[in-house]
Amino acid sequence: MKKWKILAVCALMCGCSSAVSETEADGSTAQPSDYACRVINYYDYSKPVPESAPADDAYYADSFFGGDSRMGGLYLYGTEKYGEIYYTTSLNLFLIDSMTVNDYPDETMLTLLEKTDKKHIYLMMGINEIRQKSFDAWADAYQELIDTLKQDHPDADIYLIATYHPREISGLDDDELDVQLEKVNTKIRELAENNLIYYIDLDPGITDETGLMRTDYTWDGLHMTPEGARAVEAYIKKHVYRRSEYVKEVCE
Amino acid sequence: MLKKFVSSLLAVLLLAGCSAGSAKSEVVPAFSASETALEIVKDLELTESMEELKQKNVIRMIFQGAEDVVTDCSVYRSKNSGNSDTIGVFVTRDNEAVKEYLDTYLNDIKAQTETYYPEEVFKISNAVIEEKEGVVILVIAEDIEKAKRTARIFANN
Repeated sequence: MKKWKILAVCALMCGCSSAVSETEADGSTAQPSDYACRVINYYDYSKPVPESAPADDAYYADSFFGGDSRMGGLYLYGTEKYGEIYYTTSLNLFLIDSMTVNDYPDETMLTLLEKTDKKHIYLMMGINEIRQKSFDAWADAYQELIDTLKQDHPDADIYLIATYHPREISGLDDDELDVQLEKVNTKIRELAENNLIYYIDLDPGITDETGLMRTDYTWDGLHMTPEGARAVEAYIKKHVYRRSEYVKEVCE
Repeated sequence: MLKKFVSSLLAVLLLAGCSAGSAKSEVVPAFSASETALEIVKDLELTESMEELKQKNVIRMIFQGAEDVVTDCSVYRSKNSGNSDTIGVFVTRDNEAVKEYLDTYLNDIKAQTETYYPEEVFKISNAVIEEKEGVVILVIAEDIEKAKRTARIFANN
């Protein structure tokens, strides 16, 4: 009799615990509204765009590339099918609303940027202001441009292309150039981080073991040869931000 | 005696009134950088080819953002790509500070121009700077002699 009582108690306890475990294990018994879900962007805006799967023709068709004469290298020798690509020789950011664009004498870079409907906007500026003592005013001007772009194109991805390291530039010796490049690229990095936009560091793709642009990539120490333009293109092509890779919904 | 005194006093008062009135009519008009710059542009016959820059861009580009170097300024620049023609009028309490910034600016654009438009280097190298107390004038133009004469005239006005 005692044995049967013990067995009955054991059976009851097993039943209770399994009932409890069924409740815990059975997620479907909980309602979806019991979970808190949020969208998290894991992208680190303080770092340059990391390597990615290459962009395709459709991406380039929906892209705007604009800048100073260095962008002229892509304009003249590039092989990608850009939606829009423009450059202004000697472009000064302070005069972006008055200096006319090469081959488009009725346009300024600003008017073209305002008019574009492209979803990926790439900007390459800063080399003509590289001799300035301070880049505070330059960064202020760039911020104003970014504000305009974000207002006019709220869905566009904006990429700031950092100033790559030329082999030489007139008016600055090597040490001075290093200092100025660090200053201007720090500002570009800060602008990207503060505005949640992207910046591209081309140096890993186009410099040699000295840290300078490869000699075969430039004809004057700064401007691209056709080989240089293709190297820049190849690098940009594989450094693309895709939202699906960084933005996730997390439910707890 | 009293009559003589009163008439003399009246005469003195009238004369004082007249001179005070004429002193009021000799008010010196305030110096306008914008108007002066435009006059120089016209004098050098560059009206069709030049445009005035926004003042905030002048402060950023030439004075690197320092807003206290000038109290007024106006800069005209060539609309033609690659042409370095420039006319600048700067009102300041510190002529030396302005000239130092202009020197840096000229060296900067000369270095750029060497790369892209070497034919403009000579013009920039011979930029004209004239001044009087509180005003500095900059002219970069093809006709350097005419630029010197014009800048000197306006600086001495």
